[in-house]
Amino acid sequence: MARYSLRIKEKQTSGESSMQDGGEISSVGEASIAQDDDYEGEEPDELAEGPSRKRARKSSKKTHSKSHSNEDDPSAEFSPKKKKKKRMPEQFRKVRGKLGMLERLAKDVPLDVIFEIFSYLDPSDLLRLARTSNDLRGILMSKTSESIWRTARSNVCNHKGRCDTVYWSFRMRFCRSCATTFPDSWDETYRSSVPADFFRCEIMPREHTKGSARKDNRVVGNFEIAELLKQEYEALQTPEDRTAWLTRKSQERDAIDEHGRLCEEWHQARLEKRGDELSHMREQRKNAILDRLEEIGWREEAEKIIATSSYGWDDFTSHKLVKQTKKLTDYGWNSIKAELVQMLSTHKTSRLVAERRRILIQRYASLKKECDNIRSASDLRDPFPAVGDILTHKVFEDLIWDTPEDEELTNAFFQSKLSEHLPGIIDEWRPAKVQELLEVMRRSVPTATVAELQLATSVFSCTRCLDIKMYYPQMFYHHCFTGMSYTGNTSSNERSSYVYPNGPWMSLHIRFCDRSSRIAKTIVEACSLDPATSTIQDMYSANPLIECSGCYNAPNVSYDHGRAFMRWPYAIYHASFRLFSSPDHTLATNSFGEETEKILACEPEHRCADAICCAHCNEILCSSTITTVLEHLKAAHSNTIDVETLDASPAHKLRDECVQEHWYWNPRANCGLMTQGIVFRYKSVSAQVDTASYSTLLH
Amino acid sequence: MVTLVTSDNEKFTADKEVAERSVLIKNMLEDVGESDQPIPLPNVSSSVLKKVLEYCEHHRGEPLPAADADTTQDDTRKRTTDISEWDQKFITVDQEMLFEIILAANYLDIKSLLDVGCKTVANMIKGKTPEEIRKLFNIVNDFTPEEEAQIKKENEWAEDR
Repeated sequence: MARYSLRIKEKQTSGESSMQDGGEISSVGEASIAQDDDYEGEEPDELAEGPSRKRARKSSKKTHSKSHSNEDDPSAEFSPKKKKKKRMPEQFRKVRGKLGMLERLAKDVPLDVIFEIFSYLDPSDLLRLARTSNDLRGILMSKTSESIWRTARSNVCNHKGRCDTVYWSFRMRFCRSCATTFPDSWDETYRSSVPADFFRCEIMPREHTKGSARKDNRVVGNFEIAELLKQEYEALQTPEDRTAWLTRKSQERDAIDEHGRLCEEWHQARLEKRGDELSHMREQRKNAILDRLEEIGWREEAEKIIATSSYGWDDFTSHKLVKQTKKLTDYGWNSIKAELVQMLSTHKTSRLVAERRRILIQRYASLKKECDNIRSASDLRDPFPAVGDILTHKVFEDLIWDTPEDEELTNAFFQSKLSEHLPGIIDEWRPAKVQELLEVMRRSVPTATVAELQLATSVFSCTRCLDIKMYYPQMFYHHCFTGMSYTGNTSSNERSSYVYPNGPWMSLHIRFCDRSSRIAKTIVEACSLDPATSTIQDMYSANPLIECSGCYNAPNVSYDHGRAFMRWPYAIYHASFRLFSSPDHTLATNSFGEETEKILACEPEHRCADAICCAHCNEILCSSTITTVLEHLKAAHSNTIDVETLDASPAHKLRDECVQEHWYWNPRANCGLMTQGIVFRYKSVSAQVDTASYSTLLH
Repeated sequence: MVTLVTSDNEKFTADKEVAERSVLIKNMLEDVGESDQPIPLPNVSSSVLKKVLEYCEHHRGEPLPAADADTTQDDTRKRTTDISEWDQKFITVDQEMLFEIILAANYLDIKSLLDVGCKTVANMIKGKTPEEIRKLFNIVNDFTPEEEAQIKKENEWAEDR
């Protein structure tokens, strides 16, 4: 066994020498006494030695300087006896009086056997043991006996580290896991473990446990103290004694609690002071490291990290090699230097990447803002490039990526560059994309030409949002066709990650809608126009009134009853949706006889937001009503347009001829044809629809 | 068989297996080799050796603790002062004999016996007041009244709850 090895060797030697000496008997104890005697002088009598030693100790306490001067005696220094002093701890040489077993153990048995006995005791046993005699106190209170106390504590708690939390009302320290075993102060089992008077007289201690979790914050009691109090209480015989005891304990409790409060204040102040000291030491170390870094040219980088500090935390200050409280020495610096420089170097690399990224994003944002400004002021009835098309154009990509980072690219700079390059970009982009759209149409109409893209029968839809029907040029502004991530003209994936989420325009999700085209053709024909030549504009001018017979609601069926009417091109959206879900729906056009006037009188003003633009300044108007148009003309164009005459005209609807030249349907309206109309009800007296009177039937 | 000679020159013979429960004797026998020469035990009296051999005889054949086994165990487990029934009866002796047994177990290096002795002393101390401990172990209270008052004051926090 390791703990005995040295001792055993000694014993073996002594045993062997004893055998050589002819079996002479000498105990370890006697040997110790002999050593003791050697040191103390010639006096072998323990009893006689006792008092004189005590006196000596007392006098040494009182006249410290005197004893100190003795130590300085050179003759004492060279005395061989002095060396022997170290072989036996002083506490073992102070035994006097008649020896009891424990004292003999303390004196005669090696320290590890005493430790072995003490290792079975609790801290409270050790504390009481330390109050029995000077010798045991000397052993137990010695700094070298720390392990005894640690072992004793391990008998009651598994916690290895320090117990920093003091429960002042309990006058105990507890580790966190031990604290969890405390009963809640209101716990029924705890309260019933002692007489009710204990709580009435408030002699039971209470403490607040603290922790990060809510369950750890409790008001707790202590069974151990409760048991001690109960024992004291029950030892009293008479009710008078018990009452007096309760009164006394209550006063004592108040005193303990008050003392605890003061201790806690002191403890907190001490912790704060220590915390300040530690942070001061850390700050000193950090500054020392910064000075050293300055010598090797890395201070600036470290200070850049410190500048990002949030609530005193940053990668440098909180680095494990920096945040220590240890003073920086030459040796210490040399051992941390390489790792710190490596950290700073890595940080510098990632900082430069992040800074470049921030600059690039900022440049893209400026360019996008200017693009948006130009787009919103442009007439979009001719296809206009998407922001993504401009952002990813080589001219601008090169500008953004190749201009040195310290050179600021302002909005004005981009504005001038756009006015320089955008017309060229548009001239290049527009025919290419119109051709791309034509290719889509040619999959259904192989002979289609560019001019046919603008026919009333050329209806397109989005494969991602199937309900949306579009006319030329709505598809150039539909979000599904620019919403994809960029896969444009540069092979670098890195570049694409900087681009605004909306990429360049693509025809990938556009398809020509045959069914809607057939519906449009029937409506065009019902208006006595030629589907092969009639354009969208022609149909806007014809503005046919269309009824869906299938959507008729009888008065007793629905609140929203009557015959369902709509305008073109909303009818295309309505028909493709209704006829798809209910094949018995039919459309009738422009042949409502005497009732036409009454039906037109029921047509409401369609108030869809962002559906129309001003034909003079291309501004998107907030509502698609004649009032909005007139108000806008008055506010923005009164100097070029005779608004008063317009105002006095009999026009009362948006599609009236005199107003029509001042606005156009917003091609950027996201919902395509859906935004250009509404179904309205004509609540006729003769509710029943005579389908035979329809001039055109659609299936 | 092994012959042991005590401090009072009494000879005891014991089975090698029994005697070798003492690590000291075991090492001696290994060093000396096969020999009929008696082994002197100058630190053990005949009355104590008799008790020790009684203990070793009872526990013969039981595995001896490994050289380093206890150090790791000590760190992780709470120490228990439980003593088996036979050991309890065996160790019920006067304090003088208990002390001698502990000394002998320590000298002869019989760990299990030393443990029993230490546990017994620990059990005698456990839960007792300083005065009771003094009385039990015949300890002289050598604190001056001033010292005692000072210690009492120091320990007040641990007692006044």
